[in-house]
Amino acid sequence: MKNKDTTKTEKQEFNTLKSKGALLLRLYRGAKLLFGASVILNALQIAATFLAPLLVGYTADFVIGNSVDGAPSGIAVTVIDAARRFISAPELLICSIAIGVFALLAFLFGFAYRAVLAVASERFVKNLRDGLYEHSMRLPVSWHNRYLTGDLIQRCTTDVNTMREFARTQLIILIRVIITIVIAIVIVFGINTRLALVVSCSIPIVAVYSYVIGKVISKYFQANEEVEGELTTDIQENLTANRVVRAFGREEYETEKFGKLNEKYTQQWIKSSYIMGLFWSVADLMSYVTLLAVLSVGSVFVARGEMSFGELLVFLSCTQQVSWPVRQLGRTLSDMTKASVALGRLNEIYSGKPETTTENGKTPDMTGDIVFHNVRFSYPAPVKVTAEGEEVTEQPQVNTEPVDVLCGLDLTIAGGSTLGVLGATGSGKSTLTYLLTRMWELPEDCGEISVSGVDTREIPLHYLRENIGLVLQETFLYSKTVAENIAITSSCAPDLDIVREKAAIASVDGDILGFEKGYDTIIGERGVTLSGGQKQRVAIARTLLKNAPIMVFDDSMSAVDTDTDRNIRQGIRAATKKATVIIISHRISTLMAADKIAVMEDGRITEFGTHSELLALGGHYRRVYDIQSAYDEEGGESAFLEDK
Amino acid sequence: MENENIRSSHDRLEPKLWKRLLPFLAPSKKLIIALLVICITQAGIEASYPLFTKYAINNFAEKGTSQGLLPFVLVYLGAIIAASILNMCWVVICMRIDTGTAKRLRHEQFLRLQSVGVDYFAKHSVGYLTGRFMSDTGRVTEVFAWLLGEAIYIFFIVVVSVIIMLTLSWQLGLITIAVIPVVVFITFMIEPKTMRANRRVRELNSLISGSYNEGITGVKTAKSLVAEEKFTQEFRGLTGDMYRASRRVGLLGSVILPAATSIGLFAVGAMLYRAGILVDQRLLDYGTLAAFITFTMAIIDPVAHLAFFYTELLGYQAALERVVKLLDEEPMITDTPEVTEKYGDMFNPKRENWEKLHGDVEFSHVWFRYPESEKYILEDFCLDVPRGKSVAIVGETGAGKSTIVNLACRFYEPERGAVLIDGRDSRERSQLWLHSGLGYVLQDPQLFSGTIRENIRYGRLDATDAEVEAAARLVCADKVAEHCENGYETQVGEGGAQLSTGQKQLISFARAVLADPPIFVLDEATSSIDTETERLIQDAIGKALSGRTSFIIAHRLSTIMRCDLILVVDDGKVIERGTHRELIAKRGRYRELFDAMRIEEELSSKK
Ligand SMILES: Nc1ncnc2c1ncn2[C@@H]1O[C@H](COP(=O)(O)OP(=O)(O)OP(=O)(O)O)[C@@H](O)[C@H]1O
Ligand SMILES: Nc1ncnc2c1ncn2[C@@H]1O[C@H](COP(=O)(O)OP(=O)(O)OP(=O)(O)O)[C@@H](O)[C@H]1O
Ligand SMILES: [Mg+2]
Repeated sequence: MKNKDTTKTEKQEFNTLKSKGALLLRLYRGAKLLFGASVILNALQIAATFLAPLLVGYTADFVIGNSVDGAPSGIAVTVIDAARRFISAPELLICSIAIGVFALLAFLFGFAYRAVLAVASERFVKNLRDGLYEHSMRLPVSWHNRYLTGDLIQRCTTDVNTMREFARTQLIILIRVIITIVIAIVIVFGINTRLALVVSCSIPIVAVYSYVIGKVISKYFQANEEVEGELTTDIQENLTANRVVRAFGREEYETEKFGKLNEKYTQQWIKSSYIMGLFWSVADLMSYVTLLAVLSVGSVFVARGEMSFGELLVFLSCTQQVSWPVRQLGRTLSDMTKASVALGRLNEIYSGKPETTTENGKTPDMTGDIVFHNVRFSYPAPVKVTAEGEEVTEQPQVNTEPVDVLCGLDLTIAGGSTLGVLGATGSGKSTLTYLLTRMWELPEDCGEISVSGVDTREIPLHYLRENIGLVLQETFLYSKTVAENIAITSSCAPDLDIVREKAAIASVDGDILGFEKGYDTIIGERGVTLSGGQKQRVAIARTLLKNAPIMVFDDSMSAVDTDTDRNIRQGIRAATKKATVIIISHRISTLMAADKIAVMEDGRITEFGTHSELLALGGHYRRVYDIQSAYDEEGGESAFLEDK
Repeated sequence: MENENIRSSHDRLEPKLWKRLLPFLAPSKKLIIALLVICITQAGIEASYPLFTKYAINNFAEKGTSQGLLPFVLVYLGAIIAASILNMCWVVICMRIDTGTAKRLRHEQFLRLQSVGVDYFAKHSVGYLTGRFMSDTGRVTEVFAWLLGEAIYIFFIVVVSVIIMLTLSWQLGLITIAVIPVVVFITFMIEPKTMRANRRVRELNSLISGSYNEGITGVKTAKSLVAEEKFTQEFRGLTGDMYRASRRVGLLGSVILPAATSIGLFAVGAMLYRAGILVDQRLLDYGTLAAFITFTMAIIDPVAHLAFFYTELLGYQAALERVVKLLDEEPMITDTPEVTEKYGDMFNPKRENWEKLHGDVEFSHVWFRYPESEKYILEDFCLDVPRGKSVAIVGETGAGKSTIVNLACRFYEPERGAVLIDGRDSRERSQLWLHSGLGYVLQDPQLFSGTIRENIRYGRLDATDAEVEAAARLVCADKVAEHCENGYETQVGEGGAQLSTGQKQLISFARAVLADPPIFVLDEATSSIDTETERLIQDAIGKALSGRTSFIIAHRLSTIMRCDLILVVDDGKVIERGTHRELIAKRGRYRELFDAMRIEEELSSKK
């Protein structure tokens, strides 16, 4: 049992590793060449900065010191010989000039590599950001339902930034360290094999050590990220509901709540600082111990005459060159662990399954009948996805079976007719519209929804949605101008005439002209500067612009007065003569002109017919009608009024 | 969205701005001192390494013996281990300073955001603010711990090395030091450009997180409009700008490090030339030369990094500017010092001094327009609502109904005139005093993620479970709980996403009822609730709320008929007032609104 478990997690680990790797490759799209170029430039820069010490050693040893034992470094001699051909000057001067030239080269390569790397990594980040946005737009509503916005935003900002640092510094440092070490070892082996062995035996130790600590530290980082997600969510929610906070005078409470999370987040990082510190300082220790080993063993060699003084200098300077980057290795590796955690969190978004688009489905004429046949639906129980990618149910379920929201619903809407829907709160009206537009997918064996005889699951998603103008119950406007908001579905620049025409149908033209900047008024993310009714009507105008053959208004006139409501409905009817219209409302006055009216109760259609039929039926509809039309001024309501 | 990318006159490092952080750093004073001590010690140890080299070369390599090698190795090893332990302490202390300061800074910003007016949120999107809040703050404090610590540490290495170099040989030392002014000059040249580019990057960073927020919260809308493609394109435009701006920062940032390194190498070349001559004249010995070379090579990188840090600091300053801007945000509505003195502020209320709130609300010649707007929404508006009365406000959309209640709740303040609560200008009491006596049900219900029970309890934090359930029953929100699998313990999802709109309204209604306030504000609180439920609520609430002042805004006349006073508002003016019966009898605007229903019925029956 236990064995099976471990193989399972290992396999899982491998899978996530593989998909993380694939993601990384994808993100380097269009930046691979640049990245490669920067690696090469970096190598050149390192070579140039390496040659300089060689020259320095050569100069100290043979030019200034006239040393006799030991052979001068071949490369240095070649360089100086080459230089001698161009200039005739004392050897010392030539050496100095050569060092200067290499310094210049080091600058050029150094700048070029950084510049190219900056470009490459910014492209990498752009790919990452674009991909995240695009993918999150493609993910189904059911996916979004499971994640908290704040947490997602934390991923899209902090985690993206971590990845940016990875692309910008860590990866190159790692490559650089490796290149530096390789070059250093090559040079060092050329000078003295035994001493070189001393240097290189530290490498496997560092590698194993880093791997082990990296594993430990990543747990801490994972926890940090999660708490940061919580904190972001808290702020995000607090700001979104700022009015509620104000109205209840809950500033103190909110601050306390935030303070706790803030503290938790802080403590979390402090906890991880111990292990980070250990990681870094031990890496540091190792690099210095190596230096010490070279120094003492080298001195002994020189003392025994097995090595020249100049060689030892070169040796030391090589090791020194390596020691700065190796010292950064501890830090870099811990940062890379962080990056790996971040990548895992981002990968979770990337690996979310996008909506089924049914690209090659049927594209029927959408003016036909809409039929709901025996539709059963329940929302899946909320699940939380853990870091390892397994899904766990968030809370112990009291009832294991999720409540059916729609239970065997049958409904036929004739093409070109208007259907009114009345129903109790939570009876599943909005769910109906989500299913029709496939915001939520109807499972295979749960009945069928068809338009013009074609199952919606066989219709290409974009075709389906383009042909259904759905005005959602809760209005969401974008932080753009009013005109841009209304024309949001048109791909080209908004044509003001058309925008105004639609606004006029939605009875909002006058309101908008009343604003100081008219159609150029910028409205906030949640459209706060508009009144509730204005928001709703802008949303209606926006949907009207789609000119869809099917229109669905989900309680879209609730914040609009009765007069305006009527104007809008008449306008819509006149503008969309052939369209099939579904109006969901709690107001009889909004519904009664419809061709057919359906009454929904607990996920079923319980009454269906025209206004007068339903009145005659004397059921739910009648009762609602009676309450709403209790307007008899002569005192039909008197008993009711005297209640108070 | 406002553009904060103003070309500021100070495109350089601005110590004044950084000073603003001092109060936040102050509690970490001890840690900072410890950090300094560690840095200095570390620098000392670090700088002594070349001396070890010199010692080894002079005593073992040159003399050709390995005598005394063991003690040498032990001492050296001791120094290395000490340095590593210090290094570890350094990490832990840096983290404490970093996260501690960040915590305090975030806290202060949070407090700010709790006291800015509601209007602030109309101008700044939540995502934009969240981006600023989290990432700008994080960046700012990073500097103090990591960068500063490292910079100080490097600085000490440089200083110590320079001193040792000068004592070893002042001539060679001077040649090496000549590097420093050159590096400083280059740094100054690129400073303003870097500053501006960084500002742009920070601004775009916030815009991008704003876009994510908008995209994610509005995902249903985007799907229903089939606008995903368009939004993605727009987003690409934004990231394109970001790409260009950060590329610029990247290019500028690429100059200083290699430049400084190369200049250092030049210096070594020059120094060697000079050293050659000195050695020739026997003014310098090998050992010293070797140590000298080690020193010089060892400080090139640190000097280059110092310059690099300086330019990096500009990036941090760009983030700091944004943090400070939020800290400087003046709340639109403030209590005067005298009021705060007596009633306490939002976070430390002095409840013992609070008068009982009775609920008389009076608008006395109120003139009001929204900030930055020229049109008056209310002009010379007067209204007197005695305690315990219910007032319905009806009128066309955009007539100013919500505005009236916003003023009554003191979310905004009148430009002229006053809103009197219990006969006194509401500005004479603290905001919290009023808000604590308020039950406000918003037009669009906003819940918090958590259970149904937790959401209702938000109205009164010390309410018992039974009280929560009683409040729920009163407004029929118990039906919502019954309907869900886990009853009151059902998670409502973010912002109540797992509930239907009507259910959310019921919960937020229950929340206000639980608060049991003297003043009730129902701004289309029942617009998405079905009529039967609404009727039940009214019956129950009619009793429960008797004796409370209530403002009710609704478009369904069945909701408002029963109010004591009905106001018909048009264009910010009350055009009719009276009870339902009086207004019906008057045959004015109210009657017109009211008849809308009946007329339609006639129309449809004619058809
Ligand atoms: N924060 C704001 N800044 C500027 N103008 C605003 C702001 N809030 C509302 N307005 C404007 O003030 C006017 C009155 O708005 P208000 O919300 O009071 O209307 P309302 O009568 O409540 O309408 P509804 O019934 O649609 O909710 C509207 O024209 C609206 O555009
Ligand atoms: N995302 C979701 N996850 C789980 N349950 C949900 C979700 N959305 C809605 N529900 C549940 O499904 C039921 C039907 O919701 P729906 O939004 O369709 O109601 P409705 O008829 O539109 O109500 P209203 O008149 O209030 O708008 C409700 O009981 C609700 O709690
Ligand atoms: Mg609904």
